[in-house]
Amino acid sequence: MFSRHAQRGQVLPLYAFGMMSLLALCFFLFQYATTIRWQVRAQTAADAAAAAALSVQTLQWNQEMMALHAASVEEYRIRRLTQTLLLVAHYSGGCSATPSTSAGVCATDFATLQPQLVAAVKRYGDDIALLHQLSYPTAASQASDANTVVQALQANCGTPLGGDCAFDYTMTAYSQRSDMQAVSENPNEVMVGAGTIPAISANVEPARVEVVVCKDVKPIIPSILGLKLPTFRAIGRAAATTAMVTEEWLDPGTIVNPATNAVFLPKETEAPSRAVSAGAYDWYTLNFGGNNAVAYPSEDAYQLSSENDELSAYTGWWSTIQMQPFAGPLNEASISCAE
Amino acid sequence: MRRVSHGERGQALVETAIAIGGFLLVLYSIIWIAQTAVIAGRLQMGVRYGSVVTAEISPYVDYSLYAAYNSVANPSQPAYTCTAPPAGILNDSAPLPSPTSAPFWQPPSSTVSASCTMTLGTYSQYALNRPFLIEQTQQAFSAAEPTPRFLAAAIGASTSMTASARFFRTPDIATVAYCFPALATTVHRSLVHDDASVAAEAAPTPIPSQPASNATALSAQCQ
Repeated sequence: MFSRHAQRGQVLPLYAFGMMSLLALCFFLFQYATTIRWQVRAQTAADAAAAAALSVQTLQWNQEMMALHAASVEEYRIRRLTQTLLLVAHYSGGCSATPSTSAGVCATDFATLQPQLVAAVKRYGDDIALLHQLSYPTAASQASDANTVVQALQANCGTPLGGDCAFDYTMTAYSQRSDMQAVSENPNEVMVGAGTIPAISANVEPARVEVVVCKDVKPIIPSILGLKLPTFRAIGRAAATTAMVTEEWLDPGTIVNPATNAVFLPKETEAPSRAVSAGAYDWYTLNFGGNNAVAYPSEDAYQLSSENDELSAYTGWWSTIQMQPFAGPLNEASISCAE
Repeated sequence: MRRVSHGERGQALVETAIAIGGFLLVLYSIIWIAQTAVIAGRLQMGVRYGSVVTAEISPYVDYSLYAAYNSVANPSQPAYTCTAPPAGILNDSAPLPSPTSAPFWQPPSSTVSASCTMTLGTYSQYALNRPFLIEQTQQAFSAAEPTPRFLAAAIGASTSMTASARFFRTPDIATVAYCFPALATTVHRSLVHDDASVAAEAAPTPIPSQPASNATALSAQCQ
């Protein structure tokens, strides 16, 4: 049997233990919430850096795509102008060798057409020169620029050009994507994964990049009851690759531009119309869209009969998309980590 | 039979009152920390959501021949669509609907603010192999939660929480035309073939064997 004096303060240790437990719970709850928040923040910073690094390649390729489309339009124009000049030189297509009331003089038409061909050739040459310039950077220089951009994110952190100042940034991998699939196309279908991929230059292969951001987050309380609390390492690891985010087909001579309510590329009258007879084909007008497609929305399809010349543009535009990290286990010794 | 002396009367009650008081203080602190942690976590998710969505918000408009045709004639800086962090993330509604949480886990709507701005960056001060351009978004998301009265004296009447993030994306085609005028001009020349443009052309010249150095230079307004 205990005396009354011996029972005094008996609750105190229990109370103290309970309070310590609650405080510890409170601390770990706070620490857990901090961990989650830092992890999300780190991942966002890494994703942003990977997208920025790859924009070196995507920007270049989109510029090339613009120049390439301009060159293809000009090339189509040159083909048609050359054909028309050939007809006129042979007194064909509707013009006349001698003046008449119903047809123009071929020599006059030739004089009208010739400077147009010269101008088209000049522009085509400029387009090709531009393409040459745009495609000048190699895969190696793209990788170098990507690394420079990642370093610039850290150097400019806190400014509109920079990344998150809390982290250290490291580009841990950059390479060309090796999992490309061959695409085979015929008039009826496009098949992905069919056939083999020919050997192509690394300069035109989509790149992939891996970026790691890191920060050692110290606990708000260094230690509890002599127990040193560990530092939490917030690591964001992101990989991204260059991908064709939009693929499109445009028949610029047929499809109406919603911004202008006219077709993207209207007919061009190369020389006064010399139709051979009423309703006959006008050889002297350049028509980019010689065939009309019929859409069948209910069947998600369209029908296009290829009866005349036309310019059909298949283009793809590039941006970055996130992907699974590809460089294997992360070697933490190879990255720097902000304190 | 145990007897209590007059000096010990009510002692257990006082001890219990103190213990319960301290216990409740800590318990409510835990609940408050949990509340602010959840809200702060959601703010961080909000800026991430806004960043990622803005990066790929409208690819069919941003990256297309449609954009190229309509931007090369008169290049101008497009009006960017920047998705601010959605307030719905704080109360489980759109764009990430989920079972609705109790109002306790949501900050007062009057304290919530979100913003998104987009700017252009070039890194022209760095020795890059070619002119570079990138679109950068700045997301900010903040909210405030009233502090429990028993803590207000120590840490203020309300607790403000803020999350921010920067993100980057490939410039859209209209911006490329705006910032690389020589490129836009060259493309536009090939898309327009009329008498005036034909008359303006000089005689063809051989295609240079080495790339020129100025045709893809950034315009002054983009630097």
